[in-house]
Amino acid sequence: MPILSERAVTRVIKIPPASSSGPLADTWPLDAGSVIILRSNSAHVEREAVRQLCVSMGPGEITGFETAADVTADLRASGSPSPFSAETWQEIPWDRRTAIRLGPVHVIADREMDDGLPTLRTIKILADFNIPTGYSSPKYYFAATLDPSPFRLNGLGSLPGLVGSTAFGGTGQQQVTGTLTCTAPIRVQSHPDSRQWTCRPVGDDAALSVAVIPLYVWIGWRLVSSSPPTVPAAYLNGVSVWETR
Amino acid sequence: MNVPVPTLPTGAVLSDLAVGNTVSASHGKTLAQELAYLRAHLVEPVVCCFLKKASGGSATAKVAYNRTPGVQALYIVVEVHESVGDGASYATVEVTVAGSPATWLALTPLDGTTAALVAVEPPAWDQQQYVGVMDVSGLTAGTTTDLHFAWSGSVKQEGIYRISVCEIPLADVNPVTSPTTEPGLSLAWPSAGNALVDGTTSTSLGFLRALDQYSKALTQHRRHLQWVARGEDNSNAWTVTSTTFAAIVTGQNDNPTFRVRACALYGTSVPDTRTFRVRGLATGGITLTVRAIVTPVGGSPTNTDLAIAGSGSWGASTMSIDLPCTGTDQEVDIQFQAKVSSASTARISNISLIE
Repeated sequence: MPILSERAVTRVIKIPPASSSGPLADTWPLDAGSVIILRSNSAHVEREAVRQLCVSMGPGEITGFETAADVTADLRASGSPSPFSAETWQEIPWDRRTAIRLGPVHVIADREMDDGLPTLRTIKILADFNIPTGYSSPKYYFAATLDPSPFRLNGLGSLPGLVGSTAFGGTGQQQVTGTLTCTAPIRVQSHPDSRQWTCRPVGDDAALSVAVIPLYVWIGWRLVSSSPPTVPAAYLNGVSVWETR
Repeated sequence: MNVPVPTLPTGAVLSDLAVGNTVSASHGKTLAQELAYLRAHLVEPVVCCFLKKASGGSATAKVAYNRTPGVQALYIVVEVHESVGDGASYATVEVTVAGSPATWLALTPLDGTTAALVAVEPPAWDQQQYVGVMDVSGLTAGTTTDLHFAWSGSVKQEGIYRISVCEIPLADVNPVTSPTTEPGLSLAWPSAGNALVDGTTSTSLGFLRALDQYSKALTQHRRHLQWVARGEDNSNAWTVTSTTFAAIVTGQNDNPTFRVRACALYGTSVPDTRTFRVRGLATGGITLTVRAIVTPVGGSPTNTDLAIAGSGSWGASTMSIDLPCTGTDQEVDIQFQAKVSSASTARISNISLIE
């Protein structure tokens, strides 16, 4: 059975407003065609209900480093997870000098993988940087985790498809883009990262908490000067992160 | 009987609704489950924004919020900037609803009473977070309210670094007990033996209720896009001094481009219409005009200009804006510019596009 419901057309079909004198009044039979329209509309809304996870002015000036060793020099002091290795997630410490963290928002796992199992929607990222000349091979990172700790970016804790990077050599204002596509099944109710969030006040005669999986998105950068000790000022001026199909 | 809110769509197919086939109770139950999913699980983030270091030891950022009907609570995370120099410092964060105290349901009440120590540089990843669950059940759905994020700190602390707010989905809905406030349709009504009546929009059952709830799933799903300044005061708001359209002075070193995905409910030829809202301040006799430059990816830009008549007080102005769905993957690039009508300094604390 598919995850998303079936639709008849790729848009909402307009229907008359609810009215006791309309086509759904008591004495009228409910025809299959009307129910097909309602269901198709519902299925189309499911597809279009992808979310903007972040749109923000950036944090502004970001940190560059004199040498590659400096990028990871403070890792142990700052409690960050990188052990100086060559894996993508280990190239930066994912602290505020080298990354920003977005979220949490609750996971909606309604994307169908090839094997029919549900997983996260595809996440797209656009980061508006301003990188001056004077950096050697700038590199940018994108990741998503189901926990606020960057330790979950390591090879054991990360979900496949949710850590990526791109070497983008431009200077000046530039839009760096990334896409994260999870390839592991996610079921909200049974996932080990599922949490209970309070969802309503006492007194509504309904469940007070709901099971959710929190989703965090990360955007990182690695800027090493090409002419140390000069470290030119670099900027992350804007951030956009959204879900797509 | 409450309706459990599914975490996945029903996956219903249309072939079992062929004309001539028997209509069974299961079709009605599928309707109830779909409505619970659409209206109580597909809820939205409200804001995720980064703020530059504030000036002056305290500031109040304004976040626009229009409650999706049915949503009862917000999950709020606030992080502050690391301290400067040696030694620890503290900060407090108070979140209010348009200046009135909020009700907190869980975790840490962000009521300004908890002073947290702030880590010093270099900034580790595990910075102090203020996390609270705010009761928003009393907010009028369909009306935009400003949530106030007030910060104050000791001398070495420089304000809020990041705000994240998202609506919390529901585990179940209870339209039988509270049909006017709870979304959805009674799950028991379609069972065999119950009368297939039209009902009314304000009761929990019937075809009219189902139709009305579908309509509300289309029109009352609040998608928020917003850009937030670090405070609504002369030191921390964004400024506009140019008398011709130019980048708003936000503290960034150039005018960034933002990308969003427009929602094509009625096909890609019908734009995603939202409310363009700006909170600003201009002196009397001066008009502040904020321009949204909307460009479908691969297409041509369209300008939408929102004029705010100066009164000497902070206030919000609104107008309608279209996000075209004709871009590649329905994606749209957005940039902002602004101008004042004559030499003056106007200020902006929040820009939002809310569906």
